[in-house]
Amino acid sequence: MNDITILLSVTPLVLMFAAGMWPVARGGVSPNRNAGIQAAAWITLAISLAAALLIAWHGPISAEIPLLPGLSLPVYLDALTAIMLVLVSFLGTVVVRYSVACMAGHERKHFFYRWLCLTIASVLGLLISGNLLMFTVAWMATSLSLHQLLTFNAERPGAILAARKKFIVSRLGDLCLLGAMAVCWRIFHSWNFAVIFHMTHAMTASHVYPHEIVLLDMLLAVAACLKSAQFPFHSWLPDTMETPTPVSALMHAGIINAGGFLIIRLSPLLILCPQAMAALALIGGVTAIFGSTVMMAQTSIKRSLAFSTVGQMGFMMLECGLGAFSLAVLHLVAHSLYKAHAFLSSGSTVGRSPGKQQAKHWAPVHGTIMSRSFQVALILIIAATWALNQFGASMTFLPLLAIAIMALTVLFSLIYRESKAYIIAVIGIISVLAISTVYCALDLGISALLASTLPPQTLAAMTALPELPVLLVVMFVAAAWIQMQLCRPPQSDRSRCFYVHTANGFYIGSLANRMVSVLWPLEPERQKLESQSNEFKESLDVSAQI
Amino acid sequence: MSQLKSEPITAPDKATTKARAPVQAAVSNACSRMAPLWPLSNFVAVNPFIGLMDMPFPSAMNLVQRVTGTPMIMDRSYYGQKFSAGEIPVHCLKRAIEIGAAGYSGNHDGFYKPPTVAEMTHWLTDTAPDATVKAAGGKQMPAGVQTAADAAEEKTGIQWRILIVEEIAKWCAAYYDWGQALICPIDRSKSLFPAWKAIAQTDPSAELMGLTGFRSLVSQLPDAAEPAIEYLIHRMGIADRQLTDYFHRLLMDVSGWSGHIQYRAWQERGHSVAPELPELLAIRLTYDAALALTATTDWTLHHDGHSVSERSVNKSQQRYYRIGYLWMLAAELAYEERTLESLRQQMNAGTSGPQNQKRPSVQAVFCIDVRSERFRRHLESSYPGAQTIGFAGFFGFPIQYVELGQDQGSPLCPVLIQPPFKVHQSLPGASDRELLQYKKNKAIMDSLNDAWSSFKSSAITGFTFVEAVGLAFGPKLAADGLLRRTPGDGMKRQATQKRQLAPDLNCAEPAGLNIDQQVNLAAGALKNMGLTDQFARLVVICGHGSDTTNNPYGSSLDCGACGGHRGDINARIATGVLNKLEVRQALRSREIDIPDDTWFIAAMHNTTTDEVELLDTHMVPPSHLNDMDALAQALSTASHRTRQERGEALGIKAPADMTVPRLKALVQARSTDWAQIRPEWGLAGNAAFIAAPRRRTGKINLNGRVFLHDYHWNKDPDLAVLRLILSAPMVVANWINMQYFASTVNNDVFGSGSKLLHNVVGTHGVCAGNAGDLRCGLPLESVHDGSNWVHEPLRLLVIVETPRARLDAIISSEPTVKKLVENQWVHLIAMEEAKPTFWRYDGDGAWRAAESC
Repeated sequence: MNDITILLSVTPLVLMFAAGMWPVARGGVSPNRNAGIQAAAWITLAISLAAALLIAWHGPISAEIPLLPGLSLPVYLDALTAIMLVLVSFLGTVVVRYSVACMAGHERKHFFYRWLCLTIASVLGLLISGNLLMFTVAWMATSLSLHQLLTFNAERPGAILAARKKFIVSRLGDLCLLGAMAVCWRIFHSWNFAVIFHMTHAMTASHVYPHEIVLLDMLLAVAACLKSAQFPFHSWLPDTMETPTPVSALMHAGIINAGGFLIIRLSPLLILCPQAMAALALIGGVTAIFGSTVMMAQTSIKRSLAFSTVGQMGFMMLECGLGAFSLAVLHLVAHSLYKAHAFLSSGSTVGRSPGKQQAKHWAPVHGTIMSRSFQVALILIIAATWALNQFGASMTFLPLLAIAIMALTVLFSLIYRESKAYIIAVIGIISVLAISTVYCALDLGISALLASTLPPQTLAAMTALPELPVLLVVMFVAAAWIQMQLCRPPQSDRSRCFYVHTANGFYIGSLANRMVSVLWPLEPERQKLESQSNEFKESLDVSAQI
Repeated sequence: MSQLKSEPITAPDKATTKARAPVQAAVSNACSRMAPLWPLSNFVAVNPFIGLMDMPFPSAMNLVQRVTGTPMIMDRSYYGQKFSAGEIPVHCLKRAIEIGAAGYSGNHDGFYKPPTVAEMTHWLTDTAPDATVKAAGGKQMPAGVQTAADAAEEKTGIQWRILIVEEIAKWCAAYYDWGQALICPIDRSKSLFPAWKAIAQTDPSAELMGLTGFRSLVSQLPDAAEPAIEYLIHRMGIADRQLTDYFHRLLMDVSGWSGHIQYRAWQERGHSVAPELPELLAIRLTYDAALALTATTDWTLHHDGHSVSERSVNKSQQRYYRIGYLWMLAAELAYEERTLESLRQQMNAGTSGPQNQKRPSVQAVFCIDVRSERFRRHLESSYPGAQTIGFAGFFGFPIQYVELGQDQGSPLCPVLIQPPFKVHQSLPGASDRELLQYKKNKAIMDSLNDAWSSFKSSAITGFTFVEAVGLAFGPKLAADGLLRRTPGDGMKRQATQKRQLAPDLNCAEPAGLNIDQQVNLAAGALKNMGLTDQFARLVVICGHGSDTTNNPYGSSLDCGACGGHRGDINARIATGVLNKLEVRQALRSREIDIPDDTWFIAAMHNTTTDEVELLDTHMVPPSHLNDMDALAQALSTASHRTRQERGEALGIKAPADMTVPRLKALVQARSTDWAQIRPEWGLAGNAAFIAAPRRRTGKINLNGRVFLHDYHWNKDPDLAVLRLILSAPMVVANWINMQYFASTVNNDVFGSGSKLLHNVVGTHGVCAGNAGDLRCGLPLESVHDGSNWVHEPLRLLVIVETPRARLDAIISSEPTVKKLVENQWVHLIAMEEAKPTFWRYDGDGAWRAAESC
């Protein structure tokens, strides 16, 4: 039975790889290729579903699939793999179908399909990796295939600049991962996940850790942050809109999660290093606040979605840092589905008239309601802190609970602000209750699903930084207050400056662009074009003489 | 202006005071050259050269080429293919050279020598330059007018133009946002320039790009735009006579936002130049000045030697463009020849068309839109005795329609008209209390929707939203992405119709339509469509609209005559009015006798799927139910035949052999597929406008390329109808024609590029990719199928059946018509009963018999 499971888990990767590598007939006319890659995507989805069920049934499987003498494909399959396999092949199928429709007739569509399939195949490879070597290879392959898609419109300077920014950040991430591989070998004498996890269990039990573990976990954390667009290395992400919409969807829903997946996959290893966990939580918290604030000032739908992704990735890292790995998985999956849909349907955001939509936002037009709800949220948060403390519960959830409390009070006041009818208040309370219930149920469900895979929730980070939960709560409350103030027009020239800086993403993108264009100038391309245009001018003269 | 005096920097200086008047003139000239750009919600086609109509077409194109540095002609290979396929015969080429020379000598430099046919054909074979232009994105030809940004780019390799445009677009998008962003840093209570100035003194972005000293330059500027422009021009030291083109060039760099500003002005007061446009110009000029004033750019050198506008536009380049233009003229003549030939054959075959004395079995009024032509032809062939009529798709009812529960309405008429009447949506038969309750419920639903979308998109709530609700997007993604059945915009609107909402024709409001006005509008409409007698038992008034999903340019496929909206409301209002007994009685006193057994029925032609739906069918009297069934049968046959004709262009293989449900499903699938970027071809291919009785064109397959307006000149003794046709529908057709033309010949500047990169800005426009100017015109996918151009860029061929003298009378008395015709923006042909039948207008009152050339 295990063999079948393993076979089924590897098939999607093989299928998408084959779909990508399938030769294009000379002259680019391959009428069956569209159908071919769509079929590959559908079969991938079906097989992934089957594989996921089997994996869920049989529990973690670690195996090596012999390919050639001396070369084998190590796989590690557990509940996390199962969830991710279904997610990625589902998104892959949606994106492939979308691409086949929207790229129809494009002269370079086969190039596009090829790299799209190879990118998806690389991600699938990443998910089933059984050791750090294969993981790293798949990780790099994902990034390099994506690079081909990001430079699909090579004639657009913006596309090249963004792809280069991403290229540089990704190679730094690769270096970290390679470094982590070296350290890992030194500690465990193995790259195999099963072996590593076995040894970390022993270490957790005995509380004896080799000191290199700090370096290893730090390298992993940095690699993850670089991959998942954490502040201040996020600026390539909002700039990659110079490529067809399905690529954005795939990137924001799939590939960007690779960093989070790395952390969650290696969570038994990461919890050994409280410093790395605390760092993740703080970087994630800052990124979440940064991304969600800058998002508010974006005037175009795609960039607004992109900054929202930055914030959400930050939030996922925050959850990882707090040791809430199962919630991070929930976040990853839910965000992917949401963001893929948002990108693919971004053409539907056409407004009917000026101002109609302006009123929609939670600008404190109804100032008293908003500030009152903010006060209520504060009281609830303080009460929650006291309660958690009183009953000796883990403080892991305090920051997350605080954020949820703020969100729900805002939701209530959003509903209640328009009309103060009795029925509206009831609707408001019901929605708040419904959402809290769903949230709790999902949290319990996903924890149960992943109980065998992920380490138990321990707030390791608090050993490094005991004030962490309170610090985060203060950060988020302050951020929420600032965001609320930002929704009303600036009150003074000084506050206007802050608005301007926010709208500009605090200039991190501009600085990064400047640095990249100095390090890696666009010059050669430009000269090439110029020489062509000179030829053109000359040929004009020639044609005139005739 | 008063602020200027308080600024120390403009110390009274003879040069400045002297420069003042010419600078202002140049500003207003340059601004008046910019065309408006309608928002995505009702993307009306606009002639992008609307500000250049005072010039002859070739000169206007030369000007555009000079200013933007991009060609306004098709690739050589395009005409090469047409020539070798025999679509452009040699005699048309010769005629083009002849006509081109005649039109050119009058208004141009003396050096022009007409090319020979050999030179023209040689031009085709040398294909190397096209590849170069294409590889360079069409932008690398030296612009005739060089800005400091261009000069700096040449020198440093930094793409200044793109960087500057992104900066300007960033603040324009914030200032003119319709509701995408939650934060608005820019002060909307000030006008654009002062608001920008306040921001730009804070924003270090420009300096981070390397534009040192930008903020201090901004702080030195006067607070008002025009003094700022004068100040900057003075500091840059540019001579007066070059200014108009230079300003035009600067505005063309931000033509999208210029267009949006012009649109706003259009909304408020009609055609005049927007007061905010000089402010945008001042902003763009500030960046150029900042570059010009840095030592490294050395910009002044470039224009000291030559005049700015003549730089690098050498004779050979002009000749290259000129020959390209002549090829288009030849293609136009070839199309004209083919069209006139088929009209001639139809005429010679006698008046065997649907015009005979018998009462028609059904009459159907369609919009003049070129997409109606196919459907009308197939309806006539599937319903013996059916008569179709072409008329502007608002059916003569210029109204503003206010939906239930809203305060503001949207104009449902051509943008040339300010709608004088307001019609409200209502629930027929509902009591006041029910209406109130409906409005209240709708308000609650709207506010709940708003609350939910704020919960989704607001900053701090987004995290909880994603974790609690994000999974629900899984099924949604499966429905949209795997099944690809996203309800289109049209379907959503249809759903509201199901709730029996209807336009209220009994509204007592002063701005509403009272019974006298209804009679006036009805009489006008019937007279103008030539439908004053011989009414059939059933008269269909058929509006049209598209049904696409996830398509920012959806409204560009809707009815232009309804201001970029669907035409169903106008059709329902028209039929509602015409079915009223009081109206009919009043019409009788105006010699329009609608028989008691005539019933008007509204319909809606879905141009994406070619389904025609009959509307308000519950009101049809029982006596007419049989007629309606027969009609519905014929409509569905016509739908199928139209789809068969369109199928190939939509990439459906062998549509002629397909069963009705299969073909319908295939076509409908395109309209609900959220990934489809070519749901239908819209008005691509449009080439002619024919104002004549239907019997002149009835049997001819015009391939969906012709605007057909019914016109019976002998019923129009005082020219009133003709005057209206030429000054309104023809102008609208010319706007559409020029929009398609410009989006085809130069999609980089006048089109909106590939839909794959479109990014909706401020919910009313698009930019390509990350940022940059709003894009104007049509997407590349609206005119190109990936390997071939679907639209053929030709100027509109206007054919009017009327004696020439009557056209002369209108040309001399209607300035708009005169400009269009005399300046060669359209080709005008008069069609007369006697032989020779066709007369071509050669300008200045001269007509020439248009026998085959």
